[in-house]
Amino acid sequence: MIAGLAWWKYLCIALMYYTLLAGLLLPVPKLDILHESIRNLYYHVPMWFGMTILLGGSLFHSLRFLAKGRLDDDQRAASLVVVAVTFGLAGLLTGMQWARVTWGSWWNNDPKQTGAAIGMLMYLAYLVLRGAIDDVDRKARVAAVANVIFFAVYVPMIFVVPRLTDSLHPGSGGNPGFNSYDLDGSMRIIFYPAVLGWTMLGFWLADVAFKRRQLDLRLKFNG
Amino acid sequence: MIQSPTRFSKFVFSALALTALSVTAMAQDASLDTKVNDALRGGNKYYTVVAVLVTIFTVLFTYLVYQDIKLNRLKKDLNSKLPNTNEQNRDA
Repeated sequence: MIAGLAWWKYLCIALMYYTLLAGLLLPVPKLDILHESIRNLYYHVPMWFGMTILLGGSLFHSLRFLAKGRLDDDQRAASLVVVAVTFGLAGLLTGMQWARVTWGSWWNNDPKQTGAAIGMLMYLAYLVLRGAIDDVDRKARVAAVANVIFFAVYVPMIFVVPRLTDSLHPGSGGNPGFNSYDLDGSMRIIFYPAVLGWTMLGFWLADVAFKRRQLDLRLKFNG
Repeated sequence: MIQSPTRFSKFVFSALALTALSVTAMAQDASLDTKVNDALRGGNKYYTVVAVLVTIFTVLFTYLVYQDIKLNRLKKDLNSKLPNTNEQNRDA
């Protein structure tokens, strides 16, 4: 065991290797249209789950910053958003590739696809906003408020709107979710660890980004 | 740098080792012999992709562990030399 490395980081490494190898090498159910592309369920979907959890964590830290005024909370919120946006962009790319194979084109103007793209642009705007303000305390307050607003817009756009309109995504627009027809037992033993592994990887990356930001800030304050 | 494994970490690694064993058992599934799978795995191209991905993840994790340890060490050094950022900010 390496000193200074928390136990959950070892677990994250193990889960990610398990997801990678089992997800690519183990058999999957034979499904029309989806065929082997169903393996994307172990990468695309957990990335989105992880991203949503990371954004939830970021919201928590922004609210805590507004309540207590600790700069560490603002730094954590920003680090979580950076990783969540990275996961979101990776999720968009893997989703587009999946859409090309199963729905016929890279972009289908599906409400969830469009909502996800708008959501990513919103959070990119959050990062631009942070970069535009020099004063550390003011930046933290403005960014925390923006984060709360963006999350309140983002969640309905991803989880509510696609259920109210026609959508190609499973579980939206009257379509059955993966759970109800083709996520069989052999997939569950990879899917759930994959969700856990991707989420932990996100928190680990955010933790490293936070430590860097924290050190930069301390050095800035102390010359 | 080396610590003795705790009871919990032993449990986690045992559980993961057992999970890994189940992978080898399921790899013998006859459903692998389909045309799609044959095409995907023809000429070992598929396994090359898997190997490349494993390499990428190995590099990523190595870098991540290295960064994590390095930043922890820097934080420890700074803690002994500089005051806390939050207190500094409030005073300002």
